Amino acid sequence: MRKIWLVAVSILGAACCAILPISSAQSPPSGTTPPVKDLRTEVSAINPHEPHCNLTKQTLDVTSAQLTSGLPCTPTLIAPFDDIVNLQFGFDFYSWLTFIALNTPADGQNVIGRGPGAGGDSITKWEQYKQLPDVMLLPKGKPPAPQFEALPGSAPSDVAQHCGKRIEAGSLVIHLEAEDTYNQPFKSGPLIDQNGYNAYFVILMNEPMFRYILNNNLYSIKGQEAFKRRNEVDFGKFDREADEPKHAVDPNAPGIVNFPNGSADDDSPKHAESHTIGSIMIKASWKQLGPSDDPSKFHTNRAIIYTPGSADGTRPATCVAKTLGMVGFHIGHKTNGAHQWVWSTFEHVNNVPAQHDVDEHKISGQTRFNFYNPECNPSNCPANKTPPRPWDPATQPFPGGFRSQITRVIPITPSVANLNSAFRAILTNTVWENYMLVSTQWPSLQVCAQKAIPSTLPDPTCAPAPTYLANTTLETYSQGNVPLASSSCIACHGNATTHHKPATPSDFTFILEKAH
Amino acid sequence: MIDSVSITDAPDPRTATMLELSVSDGPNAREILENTMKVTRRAALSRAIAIVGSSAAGSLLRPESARAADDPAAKARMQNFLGVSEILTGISQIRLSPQRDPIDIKTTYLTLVTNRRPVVFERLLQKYGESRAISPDPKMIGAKLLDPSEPKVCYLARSIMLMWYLGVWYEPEDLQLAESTGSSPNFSVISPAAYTQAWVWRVAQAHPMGYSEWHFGYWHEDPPFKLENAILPEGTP
Amino acid sequence: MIGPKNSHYDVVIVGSGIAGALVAKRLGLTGKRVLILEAGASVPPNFNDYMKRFYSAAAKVPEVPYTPEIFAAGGEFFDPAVVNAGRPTVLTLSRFQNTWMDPKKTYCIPDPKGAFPFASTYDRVAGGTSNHWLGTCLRNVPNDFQMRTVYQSKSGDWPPGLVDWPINYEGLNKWYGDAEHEIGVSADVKEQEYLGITFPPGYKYPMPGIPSSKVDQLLDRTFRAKNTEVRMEDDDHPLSVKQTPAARNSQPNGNRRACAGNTNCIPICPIQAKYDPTITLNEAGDTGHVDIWYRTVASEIVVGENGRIAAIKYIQYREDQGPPTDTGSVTAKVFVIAANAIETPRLLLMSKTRNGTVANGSKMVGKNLMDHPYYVAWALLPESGEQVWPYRGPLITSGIEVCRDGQFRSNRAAFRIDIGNEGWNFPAGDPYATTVDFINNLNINGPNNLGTGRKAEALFGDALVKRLNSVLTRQFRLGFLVEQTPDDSNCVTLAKERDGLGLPRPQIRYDLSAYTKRGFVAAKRTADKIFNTLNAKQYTYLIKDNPCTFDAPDGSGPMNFFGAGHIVGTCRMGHTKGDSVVDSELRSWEHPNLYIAGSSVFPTVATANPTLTIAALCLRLAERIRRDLA
Repeated sequence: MRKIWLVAVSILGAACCAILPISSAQSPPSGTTPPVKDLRTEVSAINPHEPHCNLTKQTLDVTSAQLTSGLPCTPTLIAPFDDIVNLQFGFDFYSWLTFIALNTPADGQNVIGRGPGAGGDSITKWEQYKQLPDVMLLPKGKPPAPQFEALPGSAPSDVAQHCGKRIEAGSLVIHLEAEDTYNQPFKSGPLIDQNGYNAYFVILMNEPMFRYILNNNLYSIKGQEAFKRRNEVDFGKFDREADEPKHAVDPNAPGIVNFPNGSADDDSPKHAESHTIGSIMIKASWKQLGPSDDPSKFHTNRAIIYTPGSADGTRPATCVAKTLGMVGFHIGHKTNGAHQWVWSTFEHVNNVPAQHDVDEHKISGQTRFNFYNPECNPSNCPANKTPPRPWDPATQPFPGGFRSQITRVIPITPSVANLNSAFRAILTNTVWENYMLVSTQWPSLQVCAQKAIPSTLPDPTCAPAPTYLANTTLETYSQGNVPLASSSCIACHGNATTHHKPATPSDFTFILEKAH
Repeated sequence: MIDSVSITDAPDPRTATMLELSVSDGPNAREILENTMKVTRRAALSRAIAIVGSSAAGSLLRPESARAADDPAAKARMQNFLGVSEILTGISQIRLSPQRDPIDIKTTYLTLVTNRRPVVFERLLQKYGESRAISPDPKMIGAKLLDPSEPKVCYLARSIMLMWYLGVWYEPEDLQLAESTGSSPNFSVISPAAYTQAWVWRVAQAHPMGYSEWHFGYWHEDPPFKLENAILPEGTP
Repeated sequence: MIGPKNSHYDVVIVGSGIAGALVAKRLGLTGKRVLILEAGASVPPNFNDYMKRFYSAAAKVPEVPYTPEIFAAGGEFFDPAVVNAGRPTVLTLSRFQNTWMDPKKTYCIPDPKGAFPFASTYDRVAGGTSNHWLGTCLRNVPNDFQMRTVYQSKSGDWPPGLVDWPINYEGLNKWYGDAEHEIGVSADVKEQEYLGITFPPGYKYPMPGIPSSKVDQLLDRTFRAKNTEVRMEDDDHPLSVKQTPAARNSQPNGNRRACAGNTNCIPICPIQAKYDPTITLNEAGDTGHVDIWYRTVASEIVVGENGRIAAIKYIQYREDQGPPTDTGSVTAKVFVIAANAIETPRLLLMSKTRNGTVANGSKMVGKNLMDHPYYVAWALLPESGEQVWPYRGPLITSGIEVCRDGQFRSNRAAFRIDIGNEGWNFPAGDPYATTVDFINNLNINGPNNLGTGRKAEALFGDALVKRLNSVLTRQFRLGFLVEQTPDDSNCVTLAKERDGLGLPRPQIRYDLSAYTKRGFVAAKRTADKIFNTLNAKQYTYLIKDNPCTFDAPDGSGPMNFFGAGHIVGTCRMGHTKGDSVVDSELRSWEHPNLYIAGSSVFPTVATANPTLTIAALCLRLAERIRRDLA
């Protein structure tokens, strides 16, 4: 049993858990969607009380106790609260605790790095989360199976039909028909490793996030439209314009997407009931392990690469098992102190060199990187360029011998580097010592970030800190520090909308726009 | 290349962002300005550009923010700069300099002004201190700083106002010349970050053109924030 | 990607703008081997460089994010004589120091026999000029295609160049729909059925229309309430506000985000919610059958036997102002010139045949250059009245379309009206200029006149904030796209001045006809009427050193015009080889395997923004070429 740590009162506002939308009596369109429930009585079902929030305070004095301290429900921050350097450290520390908790073995053994695989590897807790295609990409917008656990063969999808027997518990399924499994967001490009193979990308969500989508029918376009119809904001037509100004949007109004929050403020008994994990979404990038790759240096997953059959039935579906090694890991966690979510990102330590190290000729030709060849001349291998067209994952290795030559444009800060050393030290001799934090982006304007929809302020992203953040395996081609053009988790995700007409904000996730 | 006035800076370790600014203060700046097209009041057609070439003199400018926390004199100086800025712009200090400030444009601006007009800026700060000692009334202090009988201070004050409002730098002498001839002064953009932090757009209850953090359809409604929410301390984020 | 020399393709296309990209993609999808020669730089992996240039620019003109650079580090113009693939910029359109005529500054040389410089610009880069377009996707109205037939008889003074197109609206109807789905246009059919525009039964646009802005809503309410007051003098149609169809995502589409109202469509949408042709270029590349050679300037079209085009010669370079790095030629079965209505005739005129130049039996290549000369008027709503909060949303969400057609076209040019959402930004440099006025004690823009004796004040503090808010939130502007008549003396020829590759630059002779100027007068009167109806005070002023200035034919004084960016007409399509460059299928009369794609082929500029019609014609052309090659 894990201890509950005493903490100072967090500055992140009152322990007010998210009030979920209240359904109207209106019934949804007949046919594909189940009736909308009154969610007031179902709050606890979607975002249940969490008795064991990890409340560990930030410290560089990291010990093996952190390996079992559990999942933070929100970041625990300490004074001084107006010092952005101090707060950044708090968020980075929280990111590491979250990484450890999520990568803890899924079954039985509770300690990360003591699993049955090489280097203590194992199927992780997050690999039991719901994969996006099983929620949003079912044919004709069918509802997903209500069980959260991905039981092999039970998911109502084509994958189960074709590949069911081959999916081991915790196997990820790479849906090659979905472009974002091999092409980065907004089609910015595939990532080709040093063996010429595509990196693959998967998106998953935890149970509160899944339940929110399921219960509100947000998994299909029809369901999203029914949800939206209860929204008072109506773009309407010219001839129905009201003359008085519209009100600021009420985050508790029906039809406003508002995923459940994590919360863990005061440790005192009256607040403890409100402790919740909230919504967590994961995006992971994977490298196909080749003969020259050492599996004991990666967290691996025996994934199924699924290609659906052709529509006319002439080409059958295929399910190919492949061992993948994790190279990048995004965590998005919505908390009551960060309604714009907290965004943590990790990478494999051998992905790429830093651009400034390359510029100063500090990279030895002997170093092996997953996505960089130190022996290739910069004029032959210009950095961070997309592959030549066509981009076709059916043809691997990439034709013509192309390999992505990637560098890290924004350096990892000394503060994060120190924290990485501390945490990697307690993960020695496990696969997990091969991972490092890049940074954590969080909404820095405190009062702004506590509001579900900060409508009264000019900046609804609440001044993300740091301003730009990119994972070299997930936002490979948009690294930089140019406003809007360069990768920033919150700035980009702030543009995410639902897939109904008209498009409305989808609470910082692109998951909902995938609906059919 | 269409360049900007900028300040070369090392990556700021506190925020893991690169404040990418490069200084431009070459000796031929005046000459170049005279050789470029005059800025006229224009539509999309005949606008002139004041481009100041860049030089590699990054060492001229030291980021003040890294020292402010430890150095009480630097902290006081920033406080005074913000006090002046608040009075002149009408925008509360807590908005110009939020408690947590990842972009930290105030440091960019203070560094710029200190480097471009060190002597006059000192005089301006001195005048601010003197006026404040007499009366805390912002209207009186502002009037004193903008008193045209001391033109160097007056026009530097205007440059500072325009810096906050527009994210661009107008040379005080250009403002003075423009006022006397009734023409449009030249300017140069300080940096992309400064452009996105310009205050005129928020005063218009809008956003910089090319930098919206809002969502689809917002323009169909009234702005969701009132002017006061943007510039006054109440409801400070 | 640089390919081997002297390669052979099924189709070679010059130009990677929307025309070339669409033709390439369609043919690539059918397995044809296609090569695009693009004079400028390739598709970048992200918008970092484009946006950085944009944010850093003092003058945010349409071409500013893109290469080649316009200015040197010291701020002076690069001499176009040293730039390999140069292009015009609006920044040279000034009388100050005679810039508009100075060949060391201006890429296109104005012909001294002309009255004005040509006011619109283009880009030479992957994706071409539609990188910086607004996104407006209007269809021409049916009468646009048959101006002579419908309106000449009632006219006393019919401009001879104003001809019928050899195709009509019905012939393009399905291709318009194809184009709207290919590009991804947001609109609602119900709103778009006017002035004879029809849609096939059950037709739907791919995405719903973009929501209206507060300015749109105010005009709409006002027009409905006061419709008898707001009519044009020579036309009975009451004015009405219409949603503008746009290639701008109103939903997540094509793996791109929905519009976030960056108010920056021109020159660049930071999140690519606006369609630009690099999207199609990428899709063309993904067919596996389309190659694109960047920084490759087509320098000559070579005619072979039987009048067939045998090859296109090219020059390649690596640095925008560096030396040529290679030359060569490519052969193909079919050739398409899709290089915009200035660079296309330039290439044709540079290419000699035995008795003239390529595709020029009619001697019309380069002639009938047109634009939509743009009249802009701007005003301030009364302080006691409502605010409309400009500088928000897409640059334009609605327009007034009813004035595009009517009996008045026998006498004067038609126009359509853009309702601007960006306050006084376009015509008067706001919010910068008005802010400087209030701070620096001037009144160049007009509203700073509340000081004693209606003089300017220098404001600060609270007073400044309030006054700026009051003024900026009540600004709006209207833009009138006037139909310019074709005139064969408005033409593109070859200048004696050269570019960095030694090729002759375009020379342009340009003027506006009386018919067009009368349209301007009507536009001005309509603007005045609209402002009066709203009780708005007009602040339109004349920009004196703008060389695009003419005296209004009604004696009301000088007027400025701007370019709408619509470069049209120099290789017109027609019925016979004596009076046109290409036939109705865009094929050259002289060369059976040469086609011209893009707005060069428009016989008239019509009343719609040209891009959707370009796209429709190109999709139709791709089908024609596919049949040719089958």
